[in-house]
Amino acid sequence: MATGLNVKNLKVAYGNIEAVHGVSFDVKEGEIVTLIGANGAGKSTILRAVSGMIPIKEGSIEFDGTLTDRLPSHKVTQLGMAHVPEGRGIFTRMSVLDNLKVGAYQRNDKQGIQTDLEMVFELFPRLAERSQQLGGTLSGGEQQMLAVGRALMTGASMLLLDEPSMGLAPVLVESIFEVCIDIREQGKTILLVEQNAAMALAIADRGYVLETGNIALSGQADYLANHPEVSKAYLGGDIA
Amino acid sequence: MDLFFQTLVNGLLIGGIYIAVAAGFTLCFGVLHVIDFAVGEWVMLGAFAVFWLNFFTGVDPLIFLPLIMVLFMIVGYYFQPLLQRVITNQQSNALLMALAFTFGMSILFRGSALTLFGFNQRSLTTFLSGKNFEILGISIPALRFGATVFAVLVTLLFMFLLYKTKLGLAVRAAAERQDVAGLMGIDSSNIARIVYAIYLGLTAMSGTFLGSIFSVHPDMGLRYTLFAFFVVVAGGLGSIQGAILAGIMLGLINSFVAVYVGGQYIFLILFTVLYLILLVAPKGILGKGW
Ligand SMILES: Nc1ncnc2c1ncn2[C@@H]1O[C@H](COP(=O)(O)OP(=O)(O)OP(=O)(O)O)[C@@H](O)[C@H]1O
Ligand SMILES: [Mg+2]
Repeated sequence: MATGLNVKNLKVAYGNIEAVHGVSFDVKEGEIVTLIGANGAGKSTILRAVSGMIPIKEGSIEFDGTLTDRLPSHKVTQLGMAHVPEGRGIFTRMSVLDNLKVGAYQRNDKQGIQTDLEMVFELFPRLAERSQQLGGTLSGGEQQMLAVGRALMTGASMLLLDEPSMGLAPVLVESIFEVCIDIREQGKTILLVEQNAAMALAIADRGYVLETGNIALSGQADYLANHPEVSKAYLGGDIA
Repeated sequence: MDLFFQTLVNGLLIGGIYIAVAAGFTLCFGVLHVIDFAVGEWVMLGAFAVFWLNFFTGVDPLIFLPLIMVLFMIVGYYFQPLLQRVITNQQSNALLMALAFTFGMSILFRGSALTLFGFNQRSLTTFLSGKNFEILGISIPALRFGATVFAVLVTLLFMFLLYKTKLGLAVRAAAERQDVAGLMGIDSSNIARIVYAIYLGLTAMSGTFLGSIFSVHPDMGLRYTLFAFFVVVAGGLGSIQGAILAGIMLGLINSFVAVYVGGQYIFLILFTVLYLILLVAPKGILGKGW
């Protein structure tokens, strides 16, 4: 059985406008793979299609050996994929603890849920301190932690992270990337979308560069990090 | 002074019945984003269902409450996908489509009831009808008291379901962000069906009480639709606690207007109050949602 994520010739459209024009990529079990690209390149659209939030127009998506491209998002989640959407999607009217409990909604292993809750609180002690606070009253950074923590509570084997460092102070950006490494060490697979290409490539194994709905470049993370076009467009100038 | 307290008690007792309708209607709006214009007709259908059950069996109407609940929950569960289709097919203006659709439903239900049952007002007699008891010189009608106790219990149960159970967690999640709820493994379309089912169950049960306190006739619904609008808007769209408060307020206004002003002015006064509430608190009494 093939494991990990395998996307072939994916096309996604909003109404009549195609945003992703036939993209193929894969993420193997235990890898961190990053998708980088300018604003509007189609990164979030790809994640939404993979997690079943939006329908696809063409192509196939296979996750851990199951074709998921026609499944609604709740079914994809049940297969072990967790998507931290752009903008975090915190339940603002629920407490931090309830947000985490919603993450574990489709699980029945009480023991496992408890273990994961402790794991999340260890990863983000701030969430433990504020477990009774309403999600909507958390700071932006805390909400980001909650979004990642909630995704971990689903017990997923694969995480799709959409710009987890967005809007965070530099110190927090670093700790979010450290968390990614921690998560991978637990044996989980990560597909990471980032504006912060330098950081993303520093922790990723491989990467894909997306340009207006097409993959322009792909390869090992250090290959991309040293590629002149990547450094010019996404890393803010020459690195050499 | 006696009249004042009597009016107060009557108002609280009527308001008590409204809270069950208010809670269900608000949840329906919160999760489905549908303002069900036919809410009053569901009250009417609940009342008629009991009327005919009672007519053919002779068993006390109140005994049928659980049956009515289950019956209308089933109707709601299977009816909701139809409503859903109307909303999702016309994504451009879902709220308006839902309003038009449920408005059409209300006309259809009322018209059919008129054709089938005629204009007659029918009365429903329960074992509590016509009985009174006195506390501190205030006379309390047993039926209204029973209805209020029942509505409060059902509403408490409903709140427990919403805030203390796993299903409730999923409902609250789907109410706030359907898309994200999906990412948490929640089947939002099924949640919507369950919510609509609960709402219809609560509404039809209240119909049983309202039908036996007042009377059963095909035109009885419109009044409750307007009441439901009042409760939901005054309470803060989607706030269940707000709706419950507004329900009690509605009962009090009803009762005081009837005694001190005259029943014919009820809607005038009600919507003036609503206007004033919205002027002071545009998000409703407790407009912080849930
Ligand atoms: N709901 C939508 N309806 C219509 N068009 C959309 C919608 N969402 C995205 N698009 C369009 O699809 C294209 C890709 O958008 P997408 O959000 O995937 O970009 P992105 O790579 O995530 O960008 P960013 O880095 O700014 O988040 C854009 O041209 C965008 O305008
Ligand atoms: Mg994006």
